[in-house]
Amino acid sequence: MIEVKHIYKKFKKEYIFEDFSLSFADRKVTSIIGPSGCGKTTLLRMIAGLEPYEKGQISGINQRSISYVFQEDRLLPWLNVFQNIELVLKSKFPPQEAKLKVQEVLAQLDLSEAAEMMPDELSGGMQRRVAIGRALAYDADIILFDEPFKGMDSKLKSEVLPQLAAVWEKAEKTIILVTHDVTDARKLSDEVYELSGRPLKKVETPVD
Amino acid sequence: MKISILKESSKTKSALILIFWLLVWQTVYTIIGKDVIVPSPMDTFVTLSQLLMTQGFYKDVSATMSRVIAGIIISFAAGLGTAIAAHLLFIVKDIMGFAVNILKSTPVMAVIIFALLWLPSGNVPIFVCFLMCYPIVYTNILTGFESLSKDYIEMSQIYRIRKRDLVRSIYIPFVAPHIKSALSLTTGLSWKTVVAAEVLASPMFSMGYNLLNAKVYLDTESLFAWIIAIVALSMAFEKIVNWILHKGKKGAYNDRSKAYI
Repeated sequence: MIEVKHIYKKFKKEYIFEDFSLSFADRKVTSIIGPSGCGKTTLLRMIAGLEPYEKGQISGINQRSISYVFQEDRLLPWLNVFQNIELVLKSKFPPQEAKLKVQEVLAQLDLSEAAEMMPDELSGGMQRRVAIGRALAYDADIILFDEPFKGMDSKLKSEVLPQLAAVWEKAEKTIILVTHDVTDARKLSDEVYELSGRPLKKVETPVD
Repeated sequence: MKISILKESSKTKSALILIFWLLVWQTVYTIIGKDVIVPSPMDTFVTLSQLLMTQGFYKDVSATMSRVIAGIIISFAAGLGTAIAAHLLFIVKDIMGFAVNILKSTPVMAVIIFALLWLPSGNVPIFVCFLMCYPIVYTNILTGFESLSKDYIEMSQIYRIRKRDLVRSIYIPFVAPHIKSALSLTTGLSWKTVVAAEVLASPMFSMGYNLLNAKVYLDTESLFAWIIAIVALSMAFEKIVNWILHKGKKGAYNDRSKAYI
């Protein structure tokens, strides 16, 4: 279980998290919803270790590997789709296995034909899928998704959503999804928590 | 087809421009009428062709060229090293920033005079070339490191990308264009500073020393011939460097990545 305990986090002298606590169950999909700017991304970044905080503790990460679908795709523009995914796998898998994993995830996300394409040749939705593919291929224990459907139109979203749900179910990972869309959150998650108010305090009860 | 026509027309244009300036030179020579002030183009080219026949010319050219290359190599080694250190440590950035600002505003002649006190005459041009090129190299490479998006660094932290992959796939593509731009900027400057330092330091074998000699003996034809040789070699050197840089562009990553290299 990932436990965020009594976190205090300041932003420009103002506390956005004050004695904030929230727990995420292992091998479950937990969604965080809330209005823009409420601190959803900051929470995810603190869990990932990318954002420092003033006080408190985040436990349950330790040596577990994390993958992260950022709000921006963060694909390297000089590497093609295949190379972008392969790059993150090199530290974790032997070369041949890494290549197989890339092929596998590209097939899962219907991106096999785009393997040789450069990021700037892809539509926004496809770039998003590559970023998702990169996070899935990494085979981490914890996967953090920050607005994974950003830039996708409703048609594409309706295609990707079941794909993602199927992959998640099979993978049995601890997944934290940040979204502003309640419907997506409900469809994909075991539990949904809403962040609201400022500063953010303890969240105990999931949204019905 | 279209490209070859364009190339042809640009060659003709260059030839016409050259002829125009030769005519201007001839006219000025005719008006002044004193060889000691402005020599005739014909006499100058005869002197140049005589120079090209001597062994000493090639000794001087190779000595000057090796000083230019040594100056560039040293400034790039130092520029890259200190830019990496400055990128990693703020204190180095502050310290080097101060030094670079001073160097940028220091007149070349002041540097040459100081160098004459410290170093043997043959090494003065290398040192001066290094001091003049270093700020450009350092600033360009540091800008390259600073243009590296924090987003990619975070991505590499999350996915624990290996150091060598981080350098090869993230750092080098960001910094390489800045290194190339520094090289492009310093090739012309290095020739100017090396020859200027040679004039004052007068090392045994050097193009600058020959310029000084020609001036001392009021041998204006030789002076013009040496200037033409220096300018031609500097331009050829720049062209070769740019050709190598352009070639490197094709080699790195693949063709589509050109825009980022």
